[in-house]
Amino acid sequence: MQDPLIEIRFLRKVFRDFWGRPRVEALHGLDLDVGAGEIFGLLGPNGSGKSTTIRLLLGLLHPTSGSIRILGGSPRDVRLKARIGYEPEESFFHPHLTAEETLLFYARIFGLPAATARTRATHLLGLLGLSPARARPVGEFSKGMLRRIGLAQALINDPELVILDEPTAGMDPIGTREVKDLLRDLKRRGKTVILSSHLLADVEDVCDRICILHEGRRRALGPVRALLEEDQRTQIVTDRLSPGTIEAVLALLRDREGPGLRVDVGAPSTRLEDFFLRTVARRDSPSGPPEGARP
Amino acid sequence: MSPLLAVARNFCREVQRRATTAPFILMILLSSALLPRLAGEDSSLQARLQVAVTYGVGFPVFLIALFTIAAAAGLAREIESKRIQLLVTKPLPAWQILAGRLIGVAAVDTLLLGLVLASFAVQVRIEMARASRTPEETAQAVERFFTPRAGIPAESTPSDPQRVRAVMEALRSGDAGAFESEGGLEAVARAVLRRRTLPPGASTELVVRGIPQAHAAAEQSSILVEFVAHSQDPSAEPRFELEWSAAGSAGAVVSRALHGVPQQIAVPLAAGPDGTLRITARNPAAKGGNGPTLLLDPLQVEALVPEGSFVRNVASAFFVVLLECWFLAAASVCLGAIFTFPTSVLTGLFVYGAALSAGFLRETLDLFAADAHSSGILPSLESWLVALGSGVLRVVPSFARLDPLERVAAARSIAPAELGAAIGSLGVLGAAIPVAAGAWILRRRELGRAE
Repeated sequence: MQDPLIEIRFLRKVFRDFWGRPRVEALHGLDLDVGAGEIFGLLGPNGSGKSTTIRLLLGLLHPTSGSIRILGGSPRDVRLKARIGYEPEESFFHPHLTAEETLLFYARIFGLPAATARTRATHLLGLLGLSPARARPVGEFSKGMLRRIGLAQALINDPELVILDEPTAGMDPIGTREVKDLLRDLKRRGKTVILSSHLLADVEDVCDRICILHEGRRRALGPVRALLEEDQRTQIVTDRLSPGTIEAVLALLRDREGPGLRVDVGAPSTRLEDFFLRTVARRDSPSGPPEGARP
Repeated sequence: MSPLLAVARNFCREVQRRATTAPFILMILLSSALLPRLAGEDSSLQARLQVAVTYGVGFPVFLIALFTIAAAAGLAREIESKRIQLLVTKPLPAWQILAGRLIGVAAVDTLLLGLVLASFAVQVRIEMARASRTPEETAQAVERFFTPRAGIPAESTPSDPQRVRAVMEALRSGDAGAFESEGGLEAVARAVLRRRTLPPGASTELVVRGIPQAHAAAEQSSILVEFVAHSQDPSAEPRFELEWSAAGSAGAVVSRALHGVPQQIAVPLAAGPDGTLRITARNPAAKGGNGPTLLLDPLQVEALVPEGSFVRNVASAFFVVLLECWFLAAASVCLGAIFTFPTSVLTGLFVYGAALSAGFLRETLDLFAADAHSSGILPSLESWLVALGSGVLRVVPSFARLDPLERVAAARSIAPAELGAAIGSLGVLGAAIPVAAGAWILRRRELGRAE
């Protein structure tokens, strides 16, 4: 990888109690690089160290040992933060502000000119489907809407690096798909995205590389396709075949590869997310045929 | 808009939309309107106006100070609710997070104090418009409430240090020494050496210099003098008479005074062109008779010279109150960066209490230090407490040194130099040091826990 945007070396983080005694070792010497322009997934069960890693990257926590370089500098360099967008796991917003005011507030924190701030806020509210709720206080938002406004504020400064902690948690499948499309769009525009999520299907769909953490240690790291590929097996997918053709193909395979060859034959199933989105799209379309049990 | 002002504006918006804001404002207005009614219907106009300042303004100001502490310490809630995490991950230096909140609190305080000021103005108008007021009452109120004055004390000769030490020794060996700290004992010794003793029939001349030419001119026929006199035997003679006359004037003023109670009188003005006023105080009791012997401390005899207008004095007083709130907000915002919300508020209240009673606390600590034993565990604890208390008092400014509302109630002017000193100590240092300290801590503080 050339010129990584994030370099983590031998990173350790020990949380201590009030008396300074070690309580939890959240990270045990983590090594990690994230390149520019990639979507990087951070996976792991609860307590694996994902959120701690993200907070260390953002300078919210300080490493016990090891080093972090982000965008060529220290995570605690205030100037660098102008190039970062962050969506936390929980939505920590001022409940009294409306969606639009929230975005304008963060735009002002980034020092954006008023006209630019307003344009970007309007654009992001539209992009994330929040335009109808622009004048509603954030305190009245559902969890899914809070995730959307969280993502919008993370993008208000058009950041070079976007760090998202569970961005699709609590979202419906349509919202999830919109977010994934948005992440792909960010990648097309050359942005770097770090994504932490429990939803493995989402990570699989959008990430170029992933790192799996468990008990504060790196358990796997690499491109998603390379990690998931079963290189000892082969899959051929065709249009529906007649039983005779299947028998003929099986006979040919056993003849060529030997009688011990394991072969599974069946109809490939679509993913539930695709099925759901197709179904909802048909229901929304006035000409679409109704589905489900018929009388 | 700068990020700093964005934080401030966000705070103001939060206050504006909070459900508790309207009842709080109502409480301020009600207390401001109703507390002046504490003064009885038969009270003089001057007394009613003084009550309007002391309670009608004083209590709302106390409420505003409480709001200031809680609102500024709300930074701790921002940290506890993790809302601060989003701000800290933006290009916003820690000091701007604190200073933004401070500016927001100060803006709300300004509005609230503006309401109190408006309510006070209405109270004054209502009092002045009462039909039952006599012209004499109104004239007295104009002279003793609406005309702010600066006090110029009578001259006194500096005490010889050796004599001061000798008096201190004498006091220490008597009953008085047991109840006074070292500093207090020295002050008493200096007062003893300074004071004039007036047996029956005796008189003394007091000189007040530096009366401005405008007041030394003959336009005014008299000048207000405030004095505190003592009877040598207050248990036998708590009430006595003092006769005052100014050099060169024909008349004399006989004043009935109470032992140790400040008293204002108007004496004929006879200040010379050099601004020097010579007044004579005489014990009018028959010479050789068994009337009381009176004691007069020159530093407790002041010529009250009109200085500035009432409106300017009230504006200065409210500005000083705003500076006090500004300091409290800075201290509380710093505490909010360190402690939890309840601890920050309680510590903020402690700072407020210490600032209000700094003089009393300092005297108590001096006394405590003078009384401390030399060895053992308890004395060590005492010394440690004294050192801690002295340290706190060194950091916390004294609000009692310039009590703005007391000045307005007593028609004492706030001099520009005093205002400048308040701006320096409360407005600049009192805010810059806590904000810098709070920002330093917030930068080093970890904002996240093991999960």
